[in-house]
Amino acid sequence: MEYTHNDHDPKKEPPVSYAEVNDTVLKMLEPPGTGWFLLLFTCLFFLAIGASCWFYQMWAGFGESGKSHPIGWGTYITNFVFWVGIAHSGTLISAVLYLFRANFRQPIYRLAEAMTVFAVMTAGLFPIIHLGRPWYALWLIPYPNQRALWPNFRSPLLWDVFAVSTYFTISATFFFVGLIPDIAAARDRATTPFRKILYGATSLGWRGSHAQWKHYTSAYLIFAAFATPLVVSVHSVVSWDFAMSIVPGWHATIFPPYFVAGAIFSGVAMVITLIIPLRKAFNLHRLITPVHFDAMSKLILLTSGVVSYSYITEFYTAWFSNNSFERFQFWFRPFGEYWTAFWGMTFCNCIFPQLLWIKSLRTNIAFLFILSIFINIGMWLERFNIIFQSLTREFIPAAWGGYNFSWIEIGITVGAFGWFGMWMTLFIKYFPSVAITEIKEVLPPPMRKTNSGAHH
Amino acid sequence: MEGQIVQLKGRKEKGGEPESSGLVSISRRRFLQVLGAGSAMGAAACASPVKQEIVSYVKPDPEQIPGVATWYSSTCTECSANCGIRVRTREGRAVKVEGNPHSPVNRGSLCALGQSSLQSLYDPDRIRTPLKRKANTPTGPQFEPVGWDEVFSKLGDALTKATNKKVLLTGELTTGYSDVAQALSSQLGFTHVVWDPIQPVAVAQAAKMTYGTFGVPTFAIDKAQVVVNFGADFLETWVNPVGYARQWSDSRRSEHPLRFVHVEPRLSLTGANADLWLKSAPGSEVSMVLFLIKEMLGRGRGEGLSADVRSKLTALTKGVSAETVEHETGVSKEKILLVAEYLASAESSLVLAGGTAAATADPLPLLVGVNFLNLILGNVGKTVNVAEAKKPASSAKALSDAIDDMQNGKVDVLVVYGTNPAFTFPDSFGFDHAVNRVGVKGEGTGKGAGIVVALSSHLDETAQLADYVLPVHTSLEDWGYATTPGGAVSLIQPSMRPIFDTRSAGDVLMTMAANSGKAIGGDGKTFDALVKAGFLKAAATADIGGDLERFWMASLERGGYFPKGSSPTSAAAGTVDAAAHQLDFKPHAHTVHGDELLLYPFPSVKSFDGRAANRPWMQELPDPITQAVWGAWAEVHSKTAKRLNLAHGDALILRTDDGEVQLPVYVSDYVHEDIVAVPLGQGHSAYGRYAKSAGQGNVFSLLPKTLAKQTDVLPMLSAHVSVLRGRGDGGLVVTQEFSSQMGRDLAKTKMLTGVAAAAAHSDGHHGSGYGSHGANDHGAHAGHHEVKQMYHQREHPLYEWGMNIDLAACTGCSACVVACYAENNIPVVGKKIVSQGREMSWIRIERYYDSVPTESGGEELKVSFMPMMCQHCQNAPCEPVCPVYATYHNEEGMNAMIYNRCVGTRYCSNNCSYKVRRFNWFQYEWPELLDWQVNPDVTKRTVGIMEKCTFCVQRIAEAKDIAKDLGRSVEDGEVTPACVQTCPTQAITFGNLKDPNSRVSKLAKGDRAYKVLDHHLNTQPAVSYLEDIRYKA
Repeated sequence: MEYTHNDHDPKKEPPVSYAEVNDTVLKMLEPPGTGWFLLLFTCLFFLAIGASCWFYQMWAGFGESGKSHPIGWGTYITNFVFWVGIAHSGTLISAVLYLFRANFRQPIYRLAEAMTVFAVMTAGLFPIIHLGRPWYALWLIPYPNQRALWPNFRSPLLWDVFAVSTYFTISATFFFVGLIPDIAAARDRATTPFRKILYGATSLGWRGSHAQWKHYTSAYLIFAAFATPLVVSVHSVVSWDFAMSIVPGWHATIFPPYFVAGAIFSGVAMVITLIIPLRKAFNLHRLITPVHFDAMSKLILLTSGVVSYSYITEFYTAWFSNNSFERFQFWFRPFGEYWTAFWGMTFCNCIFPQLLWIKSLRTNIAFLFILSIFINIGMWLERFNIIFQSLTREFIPAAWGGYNFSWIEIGITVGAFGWFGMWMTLFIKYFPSVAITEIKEVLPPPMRKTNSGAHH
Repeated sequence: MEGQIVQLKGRKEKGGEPESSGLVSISRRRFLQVLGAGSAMGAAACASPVKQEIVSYVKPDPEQIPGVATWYSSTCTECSANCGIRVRTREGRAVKVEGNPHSPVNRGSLCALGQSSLQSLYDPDRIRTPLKRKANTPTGPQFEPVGWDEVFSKLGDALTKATNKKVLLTGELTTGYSDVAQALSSQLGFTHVVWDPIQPVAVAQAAKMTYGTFGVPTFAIDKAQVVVNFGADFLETWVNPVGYARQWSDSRRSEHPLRFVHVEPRLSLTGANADLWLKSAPGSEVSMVLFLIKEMLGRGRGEGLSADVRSKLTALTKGVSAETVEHETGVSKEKILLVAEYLASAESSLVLAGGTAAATADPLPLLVGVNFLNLILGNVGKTVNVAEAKKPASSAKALSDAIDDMQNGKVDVLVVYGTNPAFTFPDSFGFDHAVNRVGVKGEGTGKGAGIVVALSSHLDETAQLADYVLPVHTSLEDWGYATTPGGAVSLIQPSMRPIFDTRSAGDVLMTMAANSGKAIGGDGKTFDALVKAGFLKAAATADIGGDLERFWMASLERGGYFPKGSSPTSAAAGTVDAAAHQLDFKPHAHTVHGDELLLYPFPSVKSFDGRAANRPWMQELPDPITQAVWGAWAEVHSKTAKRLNLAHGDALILRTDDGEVQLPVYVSDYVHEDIVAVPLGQGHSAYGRYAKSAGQGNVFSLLPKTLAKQTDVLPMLSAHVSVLRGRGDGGLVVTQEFSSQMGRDLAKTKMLTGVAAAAAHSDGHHGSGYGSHGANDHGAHAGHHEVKQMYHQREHPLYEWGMNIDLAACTGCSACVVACYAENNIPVVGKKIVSQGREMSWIRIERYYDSVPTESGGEELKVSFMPMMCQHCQNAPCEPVCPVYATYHNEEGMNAMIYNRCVGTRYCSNNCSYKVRRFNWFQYEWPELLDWQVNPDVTKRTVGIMEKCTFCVQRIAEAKDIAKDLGRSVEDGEVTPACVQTCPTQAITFGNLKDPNSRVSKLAKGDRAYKVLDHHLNTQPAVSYLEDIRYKA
């Protein structure tokens, strides 16, 4: 990736310099304006709605959510899978692409990592919110106790506990380690006592010595290697919540790769959704260029293809299995009562992204923003289709049923966006959301100006 | 809030009390009093209205051991079949009602209504003290509490001053009460009027005409090879539903099952169990009967009849042919001939008519015709027993006359007990208005000494009209006895101390008589003494040996006097009443034009005539045919619905000259195009919070003021209603929306051919003519093929509990569902929460409409009922997915549920292929008084956890305890879960699968045995089913 040219006219604008990177990024940390406060308060408002809905649900009874017999899982588990999926691209971009030396990751990976950590924090709430008795959620943790009661290690829900908590631990650590040199840069410019203390403590005494850099890069590599298998494992485990059951429409061996591809797909889309406003708000045009968007678009195109292929495979498997329950389920999804959700998903995830074959659209920021929103919706619908549609039509027709959406669920879903948004908003104002050091790695090092323009 | 049964945690609303002021609530002190008093109760000493006192356990009552149930035998008075019951009491409170195995009427089983009688006892809307009418307000009459003495003095005054008629208006009474009523008539000059809307009075009158004896004969359904039935719902509400259901099922699962043809305009539960269900035009059944008479005579049957009768019948049926019958009934000619063929070729048969078919304006032609058909076929004395007859006393004519008398000021005293004519008699007769004219001597004059007294445990529509409402014991607190056909005399005894300041209606009536100086049965005699004397007299007709007192105590223990055998005895062929020949043998004409439809009111197992409307269990119980809960509905044919532009669930207004009701539409293919069918018994304007909250729909209010020709029944099929689409949604709530099995082989059927073919049986006896219905044979025997298993199989050292359900015997009557609610403290959640799919019932009666092939290559309707509860799978899909081991497999083969450990992920429910797990979406609480019924042996569940069928694990534990004390293991038949116990057809068997000789083991290995979904999923359920059987039409 080169920063020697830019969007418009390479001849007019000078190349990005080290100082410009520092200035641009650290400018983001300057005292916030009204816009930022407005955003924060919007997020807090949504969070308050979600929190009050949850408390109301606990107080009045779980029936305040729309779940019923036979639909034991619905919006909350959909949200859980959705947010775990979002959490995927961060680690993918930071760890996997790091190992593959894909240089387009540099300006976006920090934001993607932050998104990962906060999305896992959001996702982790939902398994608790969806419990009938959330106050006993700790029983899922294998803690030593007097009565020697252990959780059931055969249950995929328990695997979830481990998968998600491991993923959170590793991605948070990786995220934090990557931040250290940049925090140190911020520390050096910090003016307020609060920031001085915050950055001073979190930069862990970083001074940029050779020894520190040496340790830092090897640690970063090790964490990247650690995190990489997790990209595959977390969503595979989440998919086992479904694949390990016997519900027609859930019980499928294709689920792990299908879910991982879907997660990357939705994660990249979410990165685009977040980075476009950020780029505009903080004037990062020279750091995050159409070249990066072009690369992300290609990643979307690839994962959209994998996801579409998985959909087709699901249908093929249902037909080929000659299992009437499976066949009915996969007839029901496109042609049954809830066909809108199915076709909405197909449009958002399979058809619409195909426009990215057109090169000009891959760098069209407005188009990408709209597309990314559609993909987010499509991926939410995908999880909803899998979870909800399968449960409405299981084995016994006498026990088929429907869903009663409630305001509580919508409130909690909105609240999750508020929670996520709150962390993101705070993050961009307190920590560098673009990796200063890593961008510098790919910039031409600052040289003394010579007339000959000689290389070193 | 009215009608609010679910008190949601944190949202509890004030005002569970009924509106009428003056009804006292129970204080804590009162509660303790009753508790103490109840615990001191002895078997024989618990009735008379003595003062209640606190009695402590310092001197323990030998009969009351805390934690151990005491059982009292009694008799169910919910309908007039009078089944024997046993009431289980714990610490002085009745907690469960079960059938008494000694009673020949029900042989240990009980229907849904009988199971629910506890909720009449513990009805939170019961009247708690005597009430006096204070004023009338727009919202209804206001009552104030008064003392018993005041009531009796007023009543005494009125009786002395009365110059006009005194009317005693009651429901169909048990024998103990009819003794009192008779004494009141003879000694005090009361006119006794009986009103019960669903009594088969016309059948009894037709029997008088044909056989010479008034009374509903007893029928031996199990002795017939072919049963042809015109509308008699003997599996639901007709005469003796539990007893007849047992007879029917005994035959259906015997080696030579009876063939059952049912003719009616609307698919009833009884019709749904028929081999051949024929949809006829309402009121047209008589023409088919005439044709059958003609056919049978033509085939040389009727040898027993005199030549004169034969020739008269021949003349009567002259113009009838298969074509005319087809035209009149709408049943195809082929089917009609088929029925004739069945009857002609059967060695023994039975033709029945009754129910709605006999509720026309002119029912006698049909009923007498059927009697003649039975005579021609030689059934009288074989399957029809005219000697053992039930003699219903209900009379619409008498009630109508009494209303006229009241209207004309000719009645000074009206005493009402056990009937609710303000609800169950058409408004067009003006009962409401007439009651206000009691004691009124002329226009403008006051009421004078006239008095209306209602003896009732509820402030129902009729009690609301009274001047004084006297709270009386419910049947579970009262004394009495009932004679039943066959010579059995069943005793009613209190099972617990009265809860409130109530008295036995018998004592009230006797005190009333004694105050007038006409003591019944001698001075100072109480009703229990009268009952004892009456019972001993009734039972003494047989040889009972010397010691009367010992006989009395033994009878109390057994529940009555049940002599051996009451099989139909041969009766004289019947003296034929001359009146029979003058009957108009034309089908009742019904013309439907424009938007008018014929109103078709029907009783059902769920609502009868409305007597159980204030019982939450009965409201929440899904109707087995429509699966509707809470309130009435209007069934119309899909073509009619299309013509009238109505959709399923729409609001529909039914209007006649006499009234208007709004109901939700239920679109069905199994009703006649010209009718709109509405269940009786909903749409109460009084009675209690649950009855009132269930919504509109009292069809009695639509009926015109007509009486049936020559009989005492009320013609129900007499109203033509204009049909209007109401606004918006009608509020229909059903628990099952999909009626097809989708070819999934859940409820399987074995097809039989020929008359009385041999059905498949576990002993390997194969008849000549049966074959499996095409789609159903694959996997039918998967239940007993050892499938190779990949993993180590569970071992069960001592017990492996299992269940077997015979679909050939199950009628879908839903008694098991109510029994399960009562036994296992299952909360009732209310209409709104059921509409969200959140009912808590552990048993679901699945109802499927399928079609089966006929001999001629056509297709015939096949209705399947399938009780579905936790299958206790050996490879249970719910178990591995629970993250906290809240559900696991125990060493007795059961899928156990640890409520305390459940965190509520609902994963187990998602993964349950049978969908039998129920989640507590809210914290459900029992309103005060209904909570007295809660079974202390079963945990109440809290919000946020999963629950399901436990195989009544508390009963298993009890049986194991007893066996342990005896130093042995539990033997076959010692554990009976509540559903198994109550099943009227004994379709469910429970036992130890580990024991190869247990009944359940043998059944599970039978030829008809299969396990649901097992061959798809290898779940290995502990519940096996036996295929249903159907004769090929």
